[in-house]
Amino acid sequence: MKRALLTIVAIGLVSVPTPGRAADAGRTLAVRAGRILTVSNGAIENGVITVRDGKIDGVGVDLAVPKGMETIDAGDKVVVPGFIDAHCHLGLSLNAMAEIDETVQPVTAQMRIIDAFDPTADELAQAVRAGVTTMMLAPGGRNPIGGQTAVVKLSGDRRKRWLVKPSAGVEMSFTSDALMSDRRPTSRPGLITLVQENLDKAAGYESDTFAPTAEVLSRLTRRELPAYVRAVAVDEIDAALSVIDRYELAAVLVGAQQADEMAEMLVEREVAVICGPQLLHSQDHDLKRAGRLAAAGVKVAFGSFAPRTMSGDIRTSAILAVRYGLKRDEALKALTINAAEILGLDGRLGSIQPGRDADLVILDGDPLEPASRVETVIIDGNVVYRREQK
Amino acid sequence: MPAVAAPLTAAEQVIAIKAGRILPISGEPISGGVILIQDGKIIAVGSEVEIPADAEIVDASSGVAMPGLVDARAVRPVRGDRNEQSNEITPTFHISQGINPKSRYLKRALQAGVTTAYVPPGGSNLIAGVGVAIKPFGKTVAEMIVEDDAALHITMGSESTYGNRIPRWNRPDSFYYRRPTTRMAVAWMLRKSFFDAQQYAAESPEQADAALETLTAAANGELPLRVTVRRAIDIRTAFRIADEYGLKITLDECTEGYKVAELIAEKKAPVVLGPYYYYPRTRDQYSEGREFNWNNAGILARAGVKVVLASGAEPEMADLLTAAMFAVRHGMPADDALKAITLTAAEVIGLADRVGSLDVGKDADILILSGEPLAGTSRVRRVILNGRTVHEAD
Amino acid sequence: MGFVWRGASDLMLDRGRWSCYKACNLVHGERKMIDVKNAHLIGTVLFLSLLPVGVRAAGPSAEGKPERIAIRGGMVLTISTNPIRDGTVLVEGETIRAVGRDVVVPDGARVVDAKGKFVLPGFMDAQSSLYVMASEASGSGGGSAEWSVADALDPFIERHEEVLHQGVTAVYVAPSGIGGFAGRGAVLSLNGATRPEKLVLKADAAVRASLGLSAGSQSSSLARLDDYASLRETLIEAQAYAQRQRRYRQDLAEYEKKKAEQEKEKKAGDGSKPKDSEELKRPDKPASNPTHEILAKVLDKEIPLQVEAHRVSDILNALRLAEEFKLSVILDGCTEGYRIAGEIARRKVPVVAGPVSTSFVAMPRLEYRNHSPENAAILAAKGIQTAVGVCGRDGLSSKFITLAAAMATANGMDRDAALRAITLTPAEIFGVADRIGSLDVGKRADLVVMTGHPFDADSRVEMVLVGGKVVYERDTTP
Repeated sequence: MKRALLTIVAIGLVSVPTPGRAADAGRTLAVRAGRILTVSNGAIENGVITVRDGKIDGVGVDLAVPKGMETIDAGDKVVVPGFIDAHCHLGLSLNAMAEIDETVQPVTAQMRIIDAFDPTADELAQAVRAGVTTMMLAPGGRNPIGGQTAVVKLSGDRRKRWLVKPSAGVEMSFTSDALMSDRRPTSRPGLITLVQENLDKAAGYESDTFAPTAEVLSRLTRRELPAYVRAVAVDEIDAALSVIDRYELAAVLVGAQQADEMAEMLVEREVAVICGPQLLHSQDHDLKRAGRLAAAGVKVAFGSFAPRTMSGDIRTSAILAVRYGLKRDEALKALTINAAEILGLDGRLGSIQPGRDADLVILDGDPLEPASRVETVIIDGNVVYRREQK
Repeated sequence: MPAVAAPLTAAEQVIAIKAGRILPISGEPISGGVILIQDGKIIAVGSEVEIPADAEIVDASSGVAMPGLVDARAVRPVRGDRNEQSNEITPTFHISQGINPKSRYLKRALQAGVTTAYVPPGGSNLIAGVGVAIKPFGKTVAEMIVEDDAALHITMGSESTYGNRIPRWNRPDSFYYRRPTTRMAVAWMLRKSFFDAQQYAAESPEQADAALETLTAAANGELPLRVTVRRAIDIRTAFRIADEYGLKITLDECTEGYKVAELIAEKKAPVVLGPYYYYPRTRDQYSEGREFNWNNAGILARAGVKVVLASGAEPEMADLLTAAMFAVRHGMPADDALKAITLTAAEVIGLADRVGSLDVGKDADILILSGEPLAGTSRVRRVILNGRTVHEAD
Repeated sequence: MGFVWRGASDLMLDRGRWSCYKACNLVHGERKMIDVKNAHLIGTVLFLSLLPVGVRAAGPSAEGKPERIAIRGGMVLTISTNPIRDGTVLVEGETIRAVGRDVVVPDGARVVDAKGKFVLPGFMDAQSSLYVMASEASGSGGGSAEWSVADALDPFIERHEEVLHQGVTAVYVAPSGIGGFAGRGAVLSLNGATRPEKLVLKADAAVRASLGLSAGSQSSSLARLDDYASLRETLIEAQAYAQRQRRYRQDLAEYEKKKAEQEKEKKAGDGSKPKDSEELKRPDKPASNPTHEILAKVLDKEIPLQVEAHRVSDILNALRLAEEFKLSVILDGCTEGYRIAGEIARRKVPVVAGPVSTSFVAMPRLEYRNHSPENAAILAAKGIQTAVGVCGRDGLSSKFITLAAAMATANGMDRDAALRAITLTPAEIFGVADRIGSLDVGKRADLVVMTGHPFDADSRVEMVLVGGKVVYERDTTP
């Protein structure tokens, strides 16, 4: 019996495929392109990027490419870091809007959006085709404290590399969406009181007690987790800032349509803004806000709020914002490095430089030209999308 | 009136308003006088005021200057619910946290000459919270606030009962399954609240309770107490409870005040009227506020009650000049009517040291009208707030 | 308006003396006592006062713009022909007088230097809701074929200038509704008119209907069967109605002819009863029905039927309707058209494709589930007459038309086809190509001057002309 068992085990060990060999194919490669927009170090004409084990190894003009290394020759095309959708609800189920708000209780800090995410969901494919390689998933805005956000990559592979941060921050909402008639809070002063009550309780949290909400909020008050705060109008932003100040939270505003009117206050506090999709605005007055915000020195990124808009249309948001006043280089940063910084991941994402993840997008033209199309998308050195040539 | 000129400092440029007529409200009208403003304050008012050489002149010689109007009950400029309805008793609710600085009602009020607006919480809660006095001009609420925690608001009658019900087949945990559902419960809950406050003050426990602190302050007069009442029943009940707990109260809305004018005068309670008719949603189906009287203001004023005219829940009534004119038509003495939208209103909201009349040292909140304030043909030509022109009619 | 002004000014400039003489005669004839010298003066004054007073006040403000404008030296994209480098477009009054390299600029013309710039026809959004209240634009209720969007226009509803400043000079707006016929759409001009009827470039441009639209996120397949059946039923009733009307007209004509003959005989005869007498009865007029009146015109192909259909089954049903009733059909939306492009091409049915991305619409319905941004490109490549619309969430969204077209090119649409899809093609589809859509002599001068090609991110609109008038200029207009 023992011998039989041993034999079975032995056969088992032999037949298990050597991990990594097949998956590593392609994670070491080189990309040549007419124009590389590194974001961190300007543009490189006719350059090469070498990738080793999914990380960028080198970027430059006269880089030596090892013999036999798989090379993608992108001719005169443009390479940029993969786009980051800083705020969305994709891959959550057929009806995302029903999944993102757990409104029975107004404070659900212990809920985590990652528990509702399917990395193989069909709808992620459209995001990838548009060059989005990383996204921050978030709960909805109908709870004053909604839950923990997560950062994922759209590589869809089964080896959990898609999971970047299962708990990236805490989503909060100071908008009128968070007010309800049959559940606390019904008014904004009541919302502020509720949030403060909970943050006060968190301050007194002792680690040996079972208090999941307080535990998460205590990490918020210790600045171990950032707060992603939804607020649209100036008075909502004002209310949010009063709480952010009081508890000295590390915070980022989400949506924040009228934030440009309070730019100085944001700059003072180093509060960045994840702007909503620009196609939700149709008045010139509103389309100019992102540009004004950036000009005033606020760090700006774009979120699609997918499926409210298409994740890939964060690029359209950037293009529209440029048409109405945002500087082009700021727009590219908004899609890449700014979003990475806001998510605390600029050591890994958002630029093309050695050490960063090899998340690259090849387009047939400048990314901020609406006519440019995405040709190839690489995540961690793997080609996850290649446009069909007709 | 002899000129009372404060020494001119080199701080900001002086603005001199030359008006055809000046109505200081706190004193006799002045023909052809001058008002001097500096650093947002009035530094001189009179007929023989010397205008400094480098002063900026505002020529209103065909107009009438009067203090900016004070709206002692400007309900509207709030985003969302004006009450935190998850609880009937919310003494620490601050309406200042709910104000929308971009509210079109603020703009309208300013254009109608209101330079100080007092915003109370809503009337759906029994003890609704504290109100705030603001100047209706600025980018953020913080800029606008003159005084927060200005007064505690209570609503008597059946408005607070609306929506409360006994549990039936709906959500088993709705917070609407609660008291009060009748007037008796309203009175009882008020008594209980002040009783608890008395206990709290007597025991002074270690753990501070903000709600009870607020009630205590209201009980001993540190925090003004304003009671929204409409029916005569409720006015009587309000005074009964006030007597029991030694409270000093101001009556808001007071639609049936005319029925108990002597009582109100006897109790020396000021009254903030407005609008003339407003039907709140109540559990007994819109029964409040229906028996109003066009002469309410006149009857109360003649009985010796301190009457303030405010806009209340109707934004149209933000035109306080029209409200005053209306009150005069129906029997209120003209002087009292003008005071009712300026100095008396300022007194009732506790800001008479700053606004409500054209006196040296007060805020430079000034209106220039095209004619006498109580004439239906007059309009607001210019509004000066804290010394700056913030509105000019075309 | 321009015509009247021109007429008057011609009279004044060229025939001042004649007019004075005429007026003088008038004066002389009436009051002989007036001194001759003064009579001339009075005559001229009288003549001038007889000129239509409201010439400058009525209609779009003239702002004293000159009669002739020459836009010179730009890259002229006529759309109908090859681009003309260093070309000139001469505008006279409301129309284009000349286009080419060697256009002679007449004296007195205002010259606009377009060197280094692009000159092209104004854009047209064929899926617009400009000038219509949002709640009325996306009706969830039904409609009726005779309802007209022209009755719901509000020139002041929003700042149409924001749309105009992005180069959009015309829009097609139609009533919307779920199920059945929604009503008649119209092509509107962004001419700044303050009266709704003056906004209309072409009324009754199409009758709009829909097949298979879902209400909210629910879709009932039974409802979709009902859509198709009810459209058919109404069209059959309209056919019968049209037939009755035709017969009535014939019978009426016959009756009148016979009656006239009878009268003639009566007059000619001696009073005795004529031989072939019959009691003539005037045919009864059949009941009139506004819905069927309009649909009769659709059946006659006088007005096309615009069908909003997204799913393959609904598109095919629209084509079946076209075949059964021999209608001119326009497919609107046509979201899954890319799956049956060959079929659509075979029937030679035009398509207004849009939105290019579902991000443009407020609440994408179930019908957009298989939306592809490559749709317009695939349809156009098959030779289908394809226009591109914004299909945005409100009226101001029409300002995104060039963005939408550029995005279509990013998804495979040919650049020229995409530009045509927002200029000449929508004009052709909605029957106004004789007046707008390309820079051709005789067409309305609706044109745009841009700093670059409209699909380039950096391009900005510098000048817009509508009906020959400069309605926007970048540096002077705040």
